[in-house]
Amino acid sequence: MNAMNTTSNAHPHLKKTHQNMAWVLAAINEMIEESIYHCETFCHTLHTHHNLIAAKVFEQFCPQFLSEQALIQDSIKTISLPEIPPWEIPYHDYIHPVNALTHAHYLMSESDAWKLMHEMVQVHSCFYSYLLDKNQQPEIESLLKALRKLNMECQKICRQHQSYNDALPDDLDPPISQS
Amino acid sequence: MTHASQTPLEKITVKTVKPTEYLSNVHPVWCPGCGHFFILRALTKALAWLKLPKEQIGLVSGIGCSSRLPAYLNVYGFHGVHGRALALASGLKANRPDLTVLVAGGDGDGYSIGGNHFIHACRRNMDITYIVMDNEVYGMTKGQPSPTTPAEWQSKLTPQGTGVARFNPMGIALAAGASFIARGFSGDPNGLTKLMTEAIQHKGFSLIEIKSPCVTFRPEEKAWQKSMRSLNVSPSSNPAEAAKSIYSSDGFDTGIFYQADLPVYEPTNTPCENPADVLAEIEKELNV
Repeated sequence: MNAMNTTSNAHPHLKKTHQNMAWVLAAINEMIEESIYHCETFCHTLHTHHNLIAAKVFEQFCPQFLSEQALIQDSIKTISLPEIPPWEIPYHDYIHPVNALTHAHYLMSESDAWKLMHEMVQVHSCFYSYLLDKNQQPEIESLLKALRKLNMECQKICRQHQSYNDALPDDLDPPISQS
Repeated sequence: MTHASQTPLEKITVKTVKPTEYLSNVHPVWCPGCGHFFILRALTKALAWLKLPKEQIGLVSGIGCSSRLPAYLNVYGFHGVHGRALALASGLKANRPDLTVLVAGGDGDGYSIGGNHFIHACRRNMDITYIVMDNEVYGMTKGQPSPTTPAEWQSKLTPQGTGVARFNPMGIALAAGASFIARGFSGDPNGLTKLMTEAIQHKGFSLIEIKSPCVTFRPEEKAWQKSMRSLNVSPSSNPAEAAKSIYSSDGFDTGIFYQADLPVYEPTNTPCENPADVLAEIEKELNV
């Protein structure tokens, strides 16, 4: 996955509060909210651009992220979550979930759409693994394990579909070739 | 309002606000993969972090893909004419200094058709935040070169390239008197949100030049993701130092290049009490 170089030691927005339970919950919640928002937004715009096949992938997959969110919300209950500054990154190699979407195209195939979804799911996976490596409190550890289990199922779904349909949709409004 | 350099990212604590609260019920229809999606999200996150009341925000735009922004936000919006967004926004700020005035547009709208307004908006240094979504092409009209298009970029209209040096918006903003000059990247949502937060908090004219790939007409711009990097120097308040940073950058550095405490133009003349009567009198004198 190509990403902007934000991993230098001098990264200005690095946060290291992974031992704080409320922060961990807030950070996961924030990441999942980002994925859900962009999933819904891309589903809409793909519909608008007449790529119904790719739009359906985003539509189908959104409930998976909602399931992750439901797990988190069960854990939050009465915990008051801290407001995380929206520029903070949780760890050095963190890649924002939307990074994959910068490779989207209005004519992408169903298979391409599943690849993008897979990349987004992997961002979640990396974050859960990172947090589990940091020796969390038991209640957080069990949550992270549940999230990772769900996430692995999501990865399986994405992998299964990646070679499904490589046919590109018809371009109803092709751009004029400029070069 | 206080300078971000003095009290960094000061928050107004009222209640938790979600970024989606700033969205309207009109969903964005930019091309999938377009950088503008991530700019919209970063803007709503910055507004939510600052907890700015929706009714205290005015967002003005011109024409182009990026100028669709006011439709997508649940704040006061004005989708103006091509290149005139800054003129409209200056009028708005002059009459409603209490509002947080934001301007959104693209490189064609802001630097070509609106180039003159851009220079004088910088010069006046009114308290306005100008968000330029620069994809180095006229996307809405299907891919003509804009002022920031590289000279060698070949298209049907310019088969040998434009042959014209690129417009340097940050250099011009500095020379013209803007007091906050930054470059962001749509593919860096976290860094962009911070830049927007600081630009909105800055007192004076803030330019955020955001590189935002046009995946349809300039697909090669997807490679920007590999080239962009955070600026490794602190913002300078010295124009000579800032000029050095701006002109020595290859265009892929993101961050605040210049931030200074400069006089802000705030018209003190209040609007007349009976504008219709005054206008009627002028028309009578001019025999209109």
